[in-house]
Amino acid sequence: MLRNRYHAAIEGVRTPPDLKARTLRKLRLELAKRKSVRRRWIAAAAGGMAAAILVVAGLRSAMIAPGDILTPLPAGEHVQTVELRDGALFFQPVSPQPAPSLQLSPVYPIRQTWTWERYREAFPRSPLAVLPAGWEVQSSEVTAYFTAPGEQADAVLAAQYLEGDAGRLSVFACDSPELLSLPVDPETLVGEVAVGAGYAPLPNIYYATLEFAQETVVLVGEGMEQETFVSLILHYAEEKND
Amino acid sequence: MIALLAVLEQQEADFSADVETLFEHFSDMVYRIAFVKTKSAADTDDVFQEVFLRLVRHAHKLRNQEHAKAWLIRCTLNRCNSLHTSAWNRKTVALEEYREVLSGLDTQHIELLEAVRQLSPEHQTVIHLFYYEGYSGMEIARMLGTNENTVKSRLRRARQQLRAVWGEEDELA
Repeated sequence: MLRNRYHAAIEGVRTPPDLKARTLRKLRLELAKRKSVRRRWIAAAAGGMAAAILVVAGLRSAMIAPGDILTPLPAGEHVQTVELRDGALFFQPVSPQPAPSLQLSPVYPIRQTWTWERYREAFPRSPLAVLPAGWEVQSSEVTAYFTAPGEQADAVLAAQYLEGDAGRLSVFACDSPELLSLPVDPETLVGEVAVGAGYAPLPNIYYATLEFAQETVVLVGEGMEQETFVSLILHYAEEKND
Repeated sequence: MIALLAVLEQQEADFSADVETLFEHFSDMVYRIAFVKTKSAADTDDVFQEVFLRLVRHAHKLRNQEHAKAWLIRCTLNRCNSLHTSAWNRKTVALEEYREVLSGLDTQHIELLEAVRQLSPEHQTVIHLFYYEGYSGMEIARMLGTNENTVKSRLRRARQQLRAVWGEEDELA
């Protein structure tokens, strides 16, 4: 029978040992390359994920008790920059440059919770004002930081937690970039918006940083497809480009 | 975080082991298909290497060994077909190039392999998958993205051409 004869003939054809050895060497090299690339990628993703978690944890802990005075600052010292680290605000005092406003109170900054109406009044062109299609606000928070009571806010931080069929999105916007830890540095331009994005595979979190002239936005997407997250980045970038 | 990295590192080690296992298990299968369908020993070697290097990029999508086998066959056929489209590769080279590979075969077997290698690419494929890999007409049709009747008719024509050499019929499973 043809089957038996063909079977016997082709069975006699075997991979030449030198070709097999050569291919196995190349295969191992390719696997090593893949491993090295993945290691770099995992390290970057892990760093990004840690930063994203820090942002979320930090912002949430900073918003637990509106109105609290967070960071003690001796009177007579001047605030140069403020940043969020490990969930707390850190001020870098510069002396001897006394700031009269700081002498009004022994401890700064002062935090106030704003309403969304107050936020929109202060930031009529905020990217948070227009929701992406198919997404609803589950909750939102606005916090304003002051170095002196009654003065203009030094920094305003707004957070929106959105729910949609495609997953969950947290959006943080701040008019003072020092206050917001960035999960990833912006590395490309979408119109006039600088954008950076990353992904942490195991918790399936996408994160992105968008920097505008006066505002920084951080997006954290959970349980969604990459295409969805990209469309959300483009939504917020386009809102600012309009 | 360290535990997470350890898990990922372990996954990577498992992945490498899986790819090497597939290589060990299916290297002769890939080589045989490439041998039947390419026109020179150099092309056979190229296809063989390329298929396994592609496997590194696709192995994570393969669900089990059967799926991996089907993917390797499909990938080998595709690589061979892309060689057939090149004018440089339309002329079949005699089996002398494969002297080392065929050293253990008798003349009759070598003549049969020569006859199969002279068939058209479509006929080579169905003959090999049906008579050696043991796939049914329906399975081959699914693998090649065609219908079962086309596979049966290719088998019938391929057998008619081989009958000139072997003078016998074989039943279609």
